[in-house]
Amino acid sequence: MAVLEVRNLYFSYKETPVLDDVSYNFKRGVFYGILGPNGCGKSTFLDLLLGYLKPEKGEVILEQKNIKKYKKREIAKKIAYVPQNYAVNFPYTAEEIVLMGRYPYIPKFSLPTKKDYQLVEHIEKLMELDSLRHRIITNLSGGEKQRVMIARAIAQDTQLTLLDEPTSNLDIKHSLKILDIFRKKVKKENKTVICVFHNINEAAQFCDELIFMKKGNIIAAGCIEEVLNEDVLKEVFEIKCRIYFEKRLNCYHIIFYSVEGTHEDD
Amino acid sequence: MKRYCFLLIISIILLLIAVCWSLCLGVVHIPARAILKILLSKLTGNSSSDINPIYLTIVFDVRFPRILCSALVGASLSICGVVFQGILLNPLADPYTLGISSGAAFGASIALVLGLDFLGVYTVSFFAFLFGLLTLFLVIYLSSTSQGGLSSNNLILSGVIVSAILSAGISFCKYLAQERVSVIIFWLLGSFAACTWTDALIIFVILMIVFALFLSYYRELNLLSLGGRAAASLGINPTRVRIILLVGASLLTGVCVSFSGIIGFVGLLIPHMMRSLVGPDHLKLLPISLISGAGLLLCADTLTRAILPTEVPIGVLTALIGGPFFCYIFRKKQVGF
Repeated sequence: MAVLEVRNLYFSYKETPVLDDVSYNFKRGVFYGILGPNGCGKSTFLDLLLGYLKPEKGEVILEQKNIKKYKKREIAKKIAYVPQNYAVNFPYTAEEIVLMGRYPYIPKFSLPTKKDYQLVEHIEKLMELDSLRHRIITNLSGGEKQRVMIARAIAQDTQLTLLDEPTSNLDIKHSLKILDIFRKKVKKENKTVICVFHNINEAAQFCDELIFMKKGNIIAAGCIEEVLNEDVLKEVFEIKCRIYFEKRLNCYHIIFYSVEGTHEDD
Repeated sequence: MKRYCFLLIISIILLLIAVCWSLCLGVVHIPARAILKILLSKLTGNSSSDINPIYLTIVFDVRFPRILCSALVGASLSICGVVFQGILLNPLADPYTLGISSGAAFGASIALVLGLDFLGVYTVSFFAFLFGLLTLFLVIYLSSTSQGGLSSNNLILSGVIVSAILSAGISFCKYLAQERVSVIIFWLLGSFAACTWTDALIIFVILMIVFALFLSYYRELNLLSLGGRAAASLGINPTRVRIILLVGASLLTGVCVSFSGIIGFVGLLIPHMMRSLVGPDHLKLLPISLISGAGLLLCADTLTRAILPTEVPIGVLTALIGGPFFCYIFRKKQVGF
């Protein structure tokens, strides 16, 4: 059964449609990857999924109930979100930022409990942030900041996690590590992860289902085996490529031709 | 947390010492022993006979209300500074960035020029307060987008534009006032000289209400610094939070301006210093800013009231001392420690 469902979403910025009649069902225990060229509406799609923007037409159904009918704080206990832009304006410590992930669970006029602090500590270990916990966030590098933001989203302990290019500033080891953590959460705890990817190979390695978007529409969506092919990539990204299957790692790998077409066409 | 509690207790003790000390100082020097006696007799309720009645009048009817008012206004401006900086995501914002003070000053100028007095002594204060709030709503109206959002940058820009218009309005009022222009100028410079117990009580009540509101929003304030999107995903409505806190902070600023005139730099300096002392977590930042702001303005007012040879307007004094000091810490930050 779908945990998050979108029906006929339509959204526009100043008359220009950004999303046009998008529908999809997101299930538990599945890692979703969203792929598409710049400006195809991926980030707006996430904004609508988490109720930050309201669709002009269509609806978002979270656990059988329209997202409009939820209180913000109830949504925060069900959906965590890591934005692309993670600037922090004041010199909080990394630990204070991770603790903010627990805020939806702390009632008004109360302080974080011991349990909250224990969870935060556990996540810092998991994310290898031990050495950064007392550092000031504004002094951290882009990649370190991004890891702190991801840790914050994990601390939120939600069924759904929306990630907007979570590995854009990370080195290869930390990228793999973080995607592994989310992959484990999906498989072992039956969570749902919806992630916008920049790197198609990363998506091919970690996702169960892919959604290809272009100009506000879903061009192709479904299991990797069904939708990841050279024709779809050509249509979506206007590039030529070859897709290989890597048996030892049990995943697909894509090699791209130069756009100029200097490679020989087979 | 232990270190924070220690700092908070220290600052409370320092504030109490500052209050007692400034009760002693003035044209008539009253020994500390007499002050303690008076305070003790008032607290316990039995008036002992060996208290000089002149001292009693000076301490209770003249100095105490003024000292309380300056401390309360200092506390108010500091916590408003914390909140304005938190909402506008700008460590250089203060209660005056959004033009609320200009609005209040414009309101007061109108009342003074027209010689309105339908509310007695509170007419000017009322006008200052009313125009301060009207300015806030104008600024919010100008900066809200069709999606119902309210971004920090828009707020600051609108605040600057509205301030500029209102400053012209104030100049025009001064021009119209002709020979009575000094009344407006003195009002704008600010003073605690005429403060009464009633004034102190009014400021105290509003300060406590607004402070409780701010404290109950400490998580929202912390989350706002992650940016609107991330804050929203953690269960708050950024626009609603911004409006509630802006109205609360403007209310308190308006009240302060209406009683004491325009006093700059306290709302800028205190949050800045306290943030480097206890960090930006608003749960810690708000209480300590309240106490240290009270102490700072109290000391500044005592300086101009009792120590300097002639009384310098408090607004001028805070700008003259606070401005260069702020330049110093700002510069120190640029070149590192």
